[in-house]
This record gives sequence, structure tokens and C-alpha cells, in this order.
Amino acid sequence: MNVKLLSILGIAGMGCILSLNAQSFKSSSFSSINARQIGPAVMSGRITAIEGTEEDPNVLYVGAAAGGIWKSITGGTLFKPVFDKHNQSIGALAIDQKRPDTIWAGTGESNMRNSVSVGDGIYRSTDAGENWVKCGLEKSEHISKILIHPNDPSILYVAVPGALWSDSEDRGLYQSTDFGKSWNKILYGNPRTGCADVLMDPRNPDVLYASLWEFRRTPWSFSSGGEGSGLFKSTDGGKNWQKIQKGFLPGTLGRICLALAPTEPDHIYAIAEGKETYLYSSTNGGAEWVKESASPNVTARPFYFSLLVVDPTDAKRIYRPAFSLSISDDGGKSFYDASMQGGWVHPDHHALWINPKNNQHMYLGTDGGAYVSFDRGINWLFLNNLPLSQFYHATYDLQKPYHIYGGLQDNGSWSGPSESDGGIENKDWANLYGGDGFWVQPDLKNPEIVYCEYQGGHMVKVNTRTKEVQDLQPQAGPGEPKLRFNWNTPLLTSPTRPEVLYCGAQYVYRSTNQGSVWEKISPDLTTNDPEKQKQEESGGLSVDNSSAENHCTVFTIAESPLDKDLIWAGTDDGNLQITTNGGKSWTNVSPKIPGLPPAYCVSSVEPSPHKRERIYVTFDGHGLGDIQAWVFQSEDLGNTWTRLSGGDLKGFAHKVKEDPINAKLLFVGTEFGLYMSIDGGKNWAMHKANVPPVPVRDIAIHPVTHDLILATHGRGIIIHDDLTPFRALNETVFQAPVAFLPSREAVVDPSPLGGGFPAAGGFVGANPDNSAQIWYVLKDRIQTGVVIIEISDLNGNFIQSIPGTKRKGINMISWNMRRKAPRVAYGAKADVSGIFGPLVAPGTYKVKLITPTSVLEKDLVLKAPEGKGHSAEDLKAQQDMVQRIYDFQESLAFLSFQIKGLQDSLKRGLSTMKAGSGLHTKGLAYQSKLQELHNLLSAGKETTAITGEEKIREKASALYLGITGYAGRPTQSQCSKMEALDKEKAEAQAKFETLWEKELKTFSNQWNKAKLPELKKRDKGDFDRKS
Amino acid sequence: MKKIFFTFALLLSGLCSSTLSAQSAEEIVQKHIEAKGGAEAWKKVKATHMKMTASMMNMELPISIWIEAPDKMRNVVSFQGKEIITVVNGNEGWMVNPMMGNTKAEPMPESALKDIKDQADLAGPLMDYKAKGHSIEYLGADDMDGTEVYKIKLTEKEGDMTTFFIDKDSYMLLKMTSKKMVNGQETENSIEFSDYRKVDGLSFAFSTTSGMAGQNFESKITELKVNPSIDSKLFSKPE
Repeated sequence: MNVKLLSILGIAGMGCILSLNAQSFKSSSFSSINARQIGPAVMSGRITAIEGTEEDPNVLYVGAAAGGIWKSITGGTLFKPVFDKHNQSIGALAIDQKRPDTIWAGTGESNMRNSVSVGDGIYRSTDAGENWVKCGLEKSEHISKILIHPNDPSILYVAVPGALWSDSEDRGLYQSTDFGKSWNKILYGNPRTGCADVLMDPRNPDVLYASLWEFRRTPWSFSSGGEGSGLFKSTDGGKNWQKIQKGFLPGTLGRICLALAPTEPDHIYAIAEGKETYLYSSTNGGAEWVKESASPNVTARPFYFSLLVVDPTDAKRIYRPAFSLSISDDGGKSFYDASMQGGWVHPDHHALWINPKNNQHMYLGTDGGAYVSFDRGINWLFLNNLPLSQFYHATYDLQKPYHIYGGLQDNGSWSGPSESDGGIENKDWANLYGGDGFWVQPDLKNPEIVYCEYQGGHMVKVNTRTKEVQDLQPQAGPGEPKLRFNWNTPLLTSPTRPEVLYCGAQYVYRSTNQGSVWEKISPDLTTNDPEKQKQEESGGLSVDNSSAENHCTVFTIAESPLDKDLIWAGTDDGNLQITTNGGKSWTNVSPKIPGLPPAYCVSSVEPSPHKRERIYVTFDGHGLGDIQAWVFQSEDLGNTWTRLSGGDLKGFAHKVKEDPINAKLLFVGTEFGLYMSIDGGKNWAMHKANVPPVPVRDIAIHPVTHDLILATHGRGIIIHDDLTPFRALNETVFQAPVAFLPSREAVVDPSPLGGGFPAAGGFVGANPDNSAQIWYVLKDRIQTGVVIIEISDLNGNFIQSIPGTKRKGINMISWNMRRKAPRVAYGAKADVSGIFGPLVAPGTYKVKLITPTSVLEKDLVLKAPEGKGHSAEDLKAQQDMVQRIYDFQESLAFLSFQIKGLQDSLKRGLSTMKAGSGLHTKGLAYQSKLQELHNLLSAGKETTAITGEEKIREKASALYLGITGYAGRPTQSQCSKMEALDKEKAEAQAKFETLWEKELKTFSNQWNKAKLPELKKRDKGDFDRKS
Repeated sequence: MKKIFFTFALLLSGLCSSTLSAQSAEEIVQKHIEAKGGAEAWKKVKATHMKMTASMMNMELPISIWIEAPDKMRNVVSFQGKEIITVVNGNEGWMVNPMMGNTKAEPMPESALKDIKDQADLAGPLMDYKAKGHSIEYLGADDMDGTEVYKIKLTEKEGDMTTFFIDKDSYMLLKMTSKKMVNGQETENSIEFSDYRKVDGLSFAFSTTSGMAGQNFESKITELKVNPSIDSKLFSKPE
């Protein structure tokens, strides 16, 4: 009975352990690595909110459309991200100006364009952005404004436009009276109507103004305006509301943005979208309204530009950030724009903060980043240190270092290097083309040619040398229907033949001659639903047809890397089409996918590089109100399907990628981050190692460096260097107490990058770690004892030991491939050669990983640098010379050690003796003889001045740095310098030996008899023990 | 039989609830102090002398540190046969850095002085934090590189912030991150503690590491004495 019980418990226990083990690959498993955010910041991304603190206007917070919150305490010269663990789409920020450590952040941008991201509630920090707590409104999706009661910080008002793509009751104006613990909806229209804006009278915080807005997007249309829209006023803190109509705003309304003059709070401004859109003003708290300007920048795109700001000291000076920044000095009757003689300012403005203590000083947020002005908004300085660029796609070329290519929301098409001297700076990025950028494809056969596009399929061939740009867009032939190109039109090259280009309208096109001739290789692959093709009527009250709503188009195309005739095409209206004969016939397989709702956009198709029949697909249903991740895999060309989910995976998916080496290693980019699976998609872990929960729109894996390249829509390009260790991950690795992981081979190169002056300001992205990396997995955190990595040559000669990290999961330690620095002679100043050990020779080394309970060993191969033109003999000559100068430094240090040892004993002895005795007099004399001798070895003047004093040590140090810094053959001059130094040292050595043998040896007997500190010529053993 | 299963279920649910139950900052700090030796024992610690080896940039540097509570410290780093000496004594502090040829003691800027003085708080800032004018806040449980921890934030009188990552099982301190203004700049630090060993009944981390992404700097204690007798001359201005 007992045995039986025990066995039952045992089995139950085992089950428990197994189920825990199944999740041993978790987000926290790879916390010790850091992906590289490389920008660019030369064009930043859309800024949605800027708030400064009144107490110290140098302290400001910048919220980005999909790049989190950045804080500066230096007025914008230095920014740090402070929200990287949370939703990256920021709709609104508010600072409690009386307690400026309290900050509220509403997630979910409210500039309701097609590509807008989705938030997950409101957050609060009470320590100036250091830590954030989510405080509800989880289903709000978009938040446009937060107001804090000036006299009671626990009372808040939050304007929630709410869900963009579906009905929702989680919208309207919310109030909290308990510091965000609970929320009351105090103004609401209907499931299509949210709250767009809210104002509070600073004299009487119970007086509130709020605008409701009825709006809706579908993937094929946008509608702004409806019966739900309107302007409301409450005089009792939101308990009761009156609709404001008198003399104001006839007919159906759309989005209304509001502003109040801080000096005259009854003076209110409103831009009200209507059949005709106007700026209105009221000087009596909304009782009566006067129609003011309707200039184009005032009425521009009300759904996108919903901001109006009144000067803190002048009720008649109004700023209208929209396409540009328009300024009125007459209360909105007329507007003018600044001339921008101080430099170009990126159009499309969404945030403006004016320093209330100095209204000359202001910050502006645009679609291309943040700016600061010191002259009331006339001239602006770009803050080039915010890497918030919003990529749609990214790819690479095969240069060394490779370049990354991609298109940015409202910021054109760009390329930049994966590494550069001193880091990847703004100047390293090259603009290729304008408009909104999407797919950018370098011609891998001709490095001068790059294919780019702007929105709606306007594709071009750019010659980067001649600067010529040729329009390549396919055109409808006679009698053909109008071509429908997606906002984000697929444009790519074939993985099997780099000269073959593909693009898509409602058809798939292929070109074999750089786009000169396009061959239509499919019929209309979409549903061709006429109801979804009325873009000319789209926009609601303000027609807005920018191609952003183009629909019934091909959205993604992929040719199998294993079969050029096997092509997949996905449409934005739900069709997944396959051809196995190069386009002769196509079959829609999406109806075969079980559980998949209809009409979801096929956001990516990824044919397996391992198996012809295997395919991965992501579907994006967020345009139909579904923000789940829909990821599928088929092993039989789309006849049967498995949904991949589980673990952390969440958010509508943009891209799936199978690793080209390990088919079990998968990546998915969703609106809320990057997810990885090491078991073919059964379990997913979120990649948080310097990858914020940012929209990951595209994923590429470089075939030579094995880098994972992410196109994020808000944090630029992020590179996770070298997937080699991750390809070795599986459950077995995580079950072993300690296990090594492989990594790519390092190159022993004394000068991997050139020199150059560092950037004068601006963002600098990190270069890859080019040292030798040692990767290992620990099953548990090591709490007791130490972890040591010991490196030796193949003969077991010790080279270096490095302290290891002790984290549970993946650990990584970099070895700079250097030996221990040589010991150097004693001198007045530090000797640089005693800090940098020489690089080891290329070859194979042994790595021992020593933990308190185990020792693991493996080989580590270090490669010689390629393409530097050094012969094997040259490399050998350099290595030999390195050894020679190294040994020289060590032996000089030994000589110095011997002399200093004697001096030290004399010094200590003499200090205890009375002057005048014979022993004392002699001791003093020898002390100074020894000092004279040591003065031959190294510069001894103890001063901070640049003395230029050069003795053997200083000369040897310069030679050491010269020889170790260059992998090739040392020069004749260096070799003869070495000879000369050997001679100089030998002379000094001989003088010392003579002094010892002829005089000091005898003297030491007398000295030592007097029980003074022992005078003794120290040997090599002493040297090794003591230093 | 039924009873056994019931007990087993209880055991499992107990495991769950213990990880879910929220604790107050105060409780966690109390348990942490208890775990490292207890308040009473720590209050008897007036001084320490540590010998350490620091590994950085391929070098192993011997360091010797004398500390006398509450505000005296002497730190000597040996390098290329020379000594880099830092001394803090109350509101005064000096540094001798002969590496640039300067053998004279240079006075230390106030903010740097404070940073070092903080380290002379031998029992740590969490001990009697109220009396010291600090405040604490529980930031919740977290997964620190795969290990479950409690996060406690300490805000000092002057506004400097430190976050303590305390092991859920042992209540020992595993990591400390801080943000301080030093020499006019916001500086962020992160230090991990491990290899706890008992000396005179008190737990000391014999290994402290810092660094990011492959660059790991470790200091190991090779010798530690609690309440040694220290010549007061060691804390005067270095000659």
C-alpha cells in the first residue's frame, strides 16, 4: 500500500517536474545577452506626446507612436528610454506639476492612421519614470489625453477614443478619484464613439469641456464623423454634461480638438471637423462661438492632426501643429508659417510643449522626430538622438560589413551598415528615396542598384552612383482594369535568382530585366469585392484617399528557396494563393485552414528553406478587430495546417521566419514584440534582451554572419548578433547542469576598424562584439562559489582566466583574445603596455568552464583576418616579434623588481637606524647607486607634467604597442629598435650583476647580521609570487 | 488514500499560494536582514578589513579595503607596483592616483565622496532605513534572469534611488541597481552578489560582479575580518 502510494506520488511528482521542464526556454533564459539597437536617428519616428516639467524644464518626457517613452534631464541633449518593459505605443503623457515625480502614460496612439499601433491601458510612475505600474483601462486601445486635477492628484480624467477597428464600449471620458485604482466612464456616446479631447478650467477644475468623436476604420475605408460626435461641457466635475450647440457647428461633426488660453480660461478654441471644417473661438466658456480661420493647415486631416496649443502668456497666440506649424497672433483669424531659414522641419506635427516660464522655449513632435526652439517656434533644432524610426521591411546585402535596407513610415527608404568605425552613427545612413518607404531591395548582382518604392506601389530603380531614378511601376494594359496596389506593395527579389524581381497589384508580376518588362504571372488573386474598392469616398466628413485604404490587393509574395516555380502570394482580403508551375495556375488554400476567420490579411508567407512542402503563414486580423496572433504551418503545400501558438506569443502577427540552419528555431514578429521558439512552434518565448515590446514588422537572417535582423516599427533596426548559439538550443541543453553552446568563429584582428573622429552628437548604435564569445547554459543560478573560464593553448599552457556569470539559462562571456598583459618595470607613470596584453595567434585553443561542481572543456577556433594581404610568413614574423617584446618587458620588469626589492629593504632598515654609523652611511650610498641603476630602466620623474622622459621601459612600450597593433610583418626600423633595446637592457643588467657580485653581496652579509630587513637578491620565483 | 491525495493537493496549492501571496516591503526587508545574520549582530559590526582581487580588462588587481562605520573608508589598489589610494573620512576625502605621475592627495568632489561614504554603511542602507531618513517601496515580484526575486526600492533623503533584488527563497540580496547623480551626471550601476559565506555568523557576498553583455567584472574577497583593530592613521589624508 505504502509502496503503491509512493509510486503514485512519484509519478504525480514526475509529471509536475516534466510540465515545469517543458517551459525551460523562457524569456528570462537569455537575459544575459543584448541585441543591438542601431537606429537610425537621422530620421527619427513619429512623436505623439511631449511633456516637460514646469519646475525644471530640462526634465522632459517624449512619447513615441511605437517607440516608448524617452526621458531627458538635460533639455534634450541626452535621452534615455524609460518604458522599455511596456507597450511602446504612447497616446498621452501627463505630469503632476506639483509633484513632478508622478507621471501618467496612456498607451495607444490616437492619431488614427492606418498603421497606428494599439495600447494596453494607462500606466503610472511615482518615481520620475523609473518604475511604472499599470492602472487599468486595459481595453481602451487608444488614449488621447490625460488631465490631473490641480488640487487633488488622485482625481484624473482620461480621454479614450477607444478601438479603431471595431465596436467597443471601452471608450469615452473616464474619471478616477482614487489615483487610478478604479475608473468611472463619465461621458459616453455609443460603441462607435469615443472621447477625442478634454479640457479643464484651471481656476475651477469642476468645469470640463470634452469632445466625443464617432469614427471607424476598416481595412478598406475610414470614416470620421457621425451622430455620436459633439462638444460637451460640465460644471460639476463630470457628473452632468450639456451639449454645446448654440451658434456653433451645424450638421454632423467629426473630430474636434480643443484648446484653452491659460491666461484667460474662458477663451476656448476648437477645430471642429464638419462638412466644412473651421477653427472656432469662444470668449465666454463655450456659450457663444465665432467662426475663425479655415486655412488649409488649420483644417488639415482632422483625424491625424488633432492639436491646437495656446501660448501660456498670450490668449491670442495660437499654434496649430499639422502638416506644418502654423502660428496665429490674432486669436485664430489668420495664420502664418515660419520660414524655416534655420533648417528644415519634418512635416506632420503631433506634439507641442511650451515652457510656461519661458514661452520662447518649446519642443515639437513630428512624424520625423523631436525638435527644440528658443525663439517661439520660428527656428528649430532637430534632436538627432532618438532612434525611433518606423520600418516596414528590412533586408541585407552581402558586403562586408553588410548593409541593411529598409523603408520607413513617412521617412523614405534607407540603407546603413551593420558596423562602422566608432559605432553606427547618423552619418552612416544613406537616404535612397522619399515618401513613405516600405520594401527596399538591393540588386545583389549590381551593388549600385537598389529598388525602392513609396506608398501605393510607386516603385523605382535607383542608381546610387549616377543618382538616376527610373519609374518601374507596372501599368494597366489596354482594356485592363485599374491596377490596385497596396499602401505597402510587395517588391522583392527571388531567393534562387537574384536578377528576378517580383511585385504585386491584384496580380503578381515578375521581371527578369530589372523591371524594364513586367510579366503578369497570375490572374486577379484577390476577392475583387467591389464594396471594398470605394477608396475615393473614404474618410467620412473629410475625404482622405492617400492609398492607405487600397484594398483587394496582393500583400505578400514568396518564392520557395528550393523551387523557383513554387510561388506563394497572400492578399490583404484573406486569400493565400499557391502556384507550383511558375504562375500558370493558382489555387487559394486559405479555406483549408481550420479555425481561421475569413478575410484576414496574409501578412507574411515563409516557404521553408529545409523542405519544399513546408510553409509558414501569418494572418493579421486587427483590421477586423482581432489582435490575436494567427500563425500556421503546413507540411504539405497547404492542404493541412497546424496553428502555432502557446507560451508568450501574442499580438497580431506581421512576420514568421524559419531559421535556415535549424528548422526547429522559429521567429515571429507581432505588434507587441519578437517571439522565439526552439521546438518548431509549440512554445514561444518573448525576446526581451534589449528588444522592447515594439512592433516587429519584418525579420531577416543574414546568411554569412547569421545575424537576426529586425525591422521594428518604432525602434529602428535591431540586430541580434549570431544565431549560432540559439541553433544549438533544445530541452536537453536546459536539463544539463552546465552545457556549452557553440558560437561563430572569432577573427584575431588587431585593427578590425579604422580610426576617425567620433560623431559630434547624435545617436550612435553599438557595433557587434567581435571578440571570441563563450556561451554556456546553467540549469540553475550558481549561488555558492565562482565560475571561471580558463583558456589555454593546445599544449595546456595557461593563457587567460575570465570570471564567468552565474545566471540561470544562457550566459555569455567575451574574451578579447588577448593574453595577460606583460608585467612592466616600475616607473613614475602607468605603462599602457602593462594594460593591454597581446592578441593570441589564430588557431585552436582550449576553453575550460569551471563551476563549483563541474569542469567542462571544449575547443575554441580563432581565425586569421582575411583580405588584409598578410602572408602566413608575415603573420608568423609578427607573432615572433610580439613574443620577443613581451619577454623583453617581462625580463625588464624582473630586473626592476630585483632592484626595487633591495631598495625597499634598505629603505625600511635605514629608517630604523641612527645616521652616522658605518652601516647607515654605506646603506645610503648603495640606495642611491641602486636608484641610479633603476633610472636607466624607466622614467622616474614623479610629476603630472608631460616630461617626455624616455628610458628603456618607455621605448619598449612604444615598440610593444606598434608591433602588437598590426597583424603584418614588423618594419626594419622596429626590428633594429628591438636589437638596440636588447643591448641597452643587457648593459643595465650587467651593471646590476656587477654591483651585486662585487659589492652588495658582501654588504648584505653585514646588513643581515644586524637583523635588519633582509637584503637579498630576489629570484624568479619571488617575482612570480609577488606580481 | 484520500487523505494522502488531499495532502498532496494541499502541498501543491501551498506552493502556488506562497508564490502569489503579496508581502509588504517592511516584511521582506525584515526577513532579508534576518537571513543575512540579524539586526542585532549587524549592529555590532563597527569595522571590516577586506582583501580582494578584482578582475578587469585581463588584469587581476589586488585591493585592500578598510571600513569603519559610519563614514570612514580606505581603499588601496595595487597596480604596476604602485598604489592607488582612496580615503574617505566623514566629510573629507582624498585620492592619490600615481598612474598619471601625481603622488599628491587630491580632494574628492562632494558627490563622489557621498557615493563612497554610502559603502561605509556596513549593514547596508536597508538596516534602520527610517532612522537614516530613507523610504522603501515594494515593487513586486520579478523574474531576474530566471530567478524569482522581490524588488524593493529604497529612496534616500537626497533622492538617490536604489533597487534591491532579494531572492524569494533565501531572502539574500542578489542584485542592486542604482541611479545616482555623481559629478553632475546621472550614473546607473548594477551589481550582482553571490557566493555568500558566513564570517562571525554574518553573511557576506564573497563575489560581486558587474558589467553587461559579455563584459563581466568580478571582485572576489580573499580575506575578511570583522571588527579588526584599525590604525586611525589609515583614515587621515594620505601623505
